[in-house]
Amino acid sequence: MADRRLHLMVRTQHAVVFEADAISLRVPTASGQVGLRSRAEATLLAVETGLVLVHTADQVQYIGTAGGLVSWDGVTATLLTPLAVVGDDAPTILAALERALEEPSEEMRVRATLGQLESAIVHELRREQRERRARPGGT
Amino acid sequence: MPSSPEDPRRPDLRQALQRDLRRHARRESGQRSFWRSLHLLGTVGWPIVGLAASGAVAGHWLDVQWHTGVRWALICVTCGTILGCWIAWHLIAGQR
Repeated sequence: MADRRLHLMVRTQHAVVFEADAISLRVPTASGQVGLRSRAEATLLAVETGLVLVHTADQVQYIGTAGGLVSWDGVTATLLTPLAVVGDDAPTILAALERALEEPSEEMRVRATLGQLESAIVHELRREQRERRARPGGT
Repeated sequence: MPSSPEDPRRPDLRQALQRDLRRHARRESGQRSFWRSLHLLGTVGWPIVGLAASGAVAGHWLDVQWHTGVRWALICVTCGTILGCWIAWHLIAGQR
């Protein structure tokens, strides 16, 4: 019988946060929760901010991520994310998240700065669009 | 166009994680409540059915004895159903 487990590795820029054999995992994406099993086709998924559920042989492991990418080659699923926290239950993972957010993180600071920059650009573009429409003969 | 962190469509990590944990907990409790609901359905259904059927049998027997058509059958079925509903109501109230 074929091995029904997949190997999961969760990586941040600095470290491997979690590594284990799992039966399946469920990741949040823009189109909803996507499940991954060992017999699934090789794929690459953009992961949204939220909770990744990892079903191992004897328990469910919770992983909170700030989004990222899941690469699945049929043997190993690798989640690349700027921030990940791991816990066995809800209180544990929330506490781990609070600890992680309290620590100064260069990646999160850069993401926040990029987000602010993106927001400012979008704001400027929308303002320009509104002004163009308001002009006589504007479309 | 990708959404920015200020965009309400992209919740921050803390909010997103709490939301997903709540969803997961709801899904888990939903699976448990299916069996609880099935058990409750059985518990609630049997007193009503049992007492209504008993009332029908007893009423029919009385009608045969006293030659009263279906009068006692109707009275006993109604009384049995009301009693069954009352018992079911108390069972539900006790499980809440």
